[in-house]
Amino acid sequence: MNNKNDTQLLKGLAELAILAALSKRTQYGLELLSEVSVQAGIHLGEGSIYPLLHRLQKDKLIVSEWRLNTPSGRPRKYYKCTKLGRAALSEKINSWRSIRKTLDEYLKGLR
Amino acid sequence: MTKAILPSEAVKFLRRLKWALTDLPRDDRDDIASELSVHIEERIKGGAEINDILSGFGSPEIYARSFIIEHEYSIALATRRLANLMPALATQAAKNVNALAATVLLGAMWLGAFSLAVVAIAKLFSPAHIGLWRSETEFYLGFHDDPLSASELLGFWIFPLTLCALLSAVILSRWIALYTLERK
Repeated sequence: MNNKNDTQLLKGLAELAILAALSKRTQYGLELLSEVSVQAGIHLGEGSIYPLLHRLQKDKLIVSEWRLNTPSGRPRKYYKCTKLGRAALSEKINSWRSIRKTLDEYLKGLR
Repeated sequence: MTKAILPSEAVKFLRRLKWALTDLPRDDRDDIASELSVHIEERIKGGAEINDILSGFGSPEIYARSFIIEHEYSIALATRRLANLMPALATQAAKNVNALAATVLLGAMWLGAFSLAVVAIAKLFSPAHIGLWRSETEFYLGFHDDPLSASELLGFWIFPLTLCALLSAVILSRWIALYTLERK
């Protein structure tokens, strides 16, 4: 599989990873970018996270707020999952597990 | 709280980005720029080079497109106006096969309706030579240089037919675009 296909595949899973991360705790953009990269293995480009967050917020799956009292001393925009977001996450996890199971069976025995 | 001083490259990037986001509401535009400003500042504090950070975003105009596309989509669904629905559908066609199919279908429908309208207008200027022609060897809509050698099937029915075609195109376009975008 070439690099372009790898990118498309990972981008398709980015929403799942972001919702999963935000369902655990409230986070800001840079923190989220690091978590999905290190914990979930999904390496998003520097700026890719913000259009995704923007879209998830428009879909009411997450909400955001600016916080002024932050460790860095600068305001940060924090995101958290909504009830609708948690329901969407549950659906996406079930879809992912179903696809992975079917694909794993199909790929058995292949290198 | 003191305002951060960003490198000139970052200031220039953010200025171009805000300009590229002109179509967005001012609050959204300022919010996006502020968030990116904080991101860039924190990455610099973390030791990253400004050129490496900005290359991760790419061109500000192209980066802005991802926000504008979502904004167009939201406006299209909120207003449900054909003038907003069609551009939003065409934009989604690049990444969604259902939207692509809908765009092709609507394109064919409008091409047919406009072709009929062009012929109807031409008929006003040359009623004897313009119409839906049928003979032993021909069947077409358009100009015939020898009207006596073929039968013209529509007559002035072409005008109400054109009106019906255009109205149908408007109604079906709106319905198909809404159906496709709501299921994105």
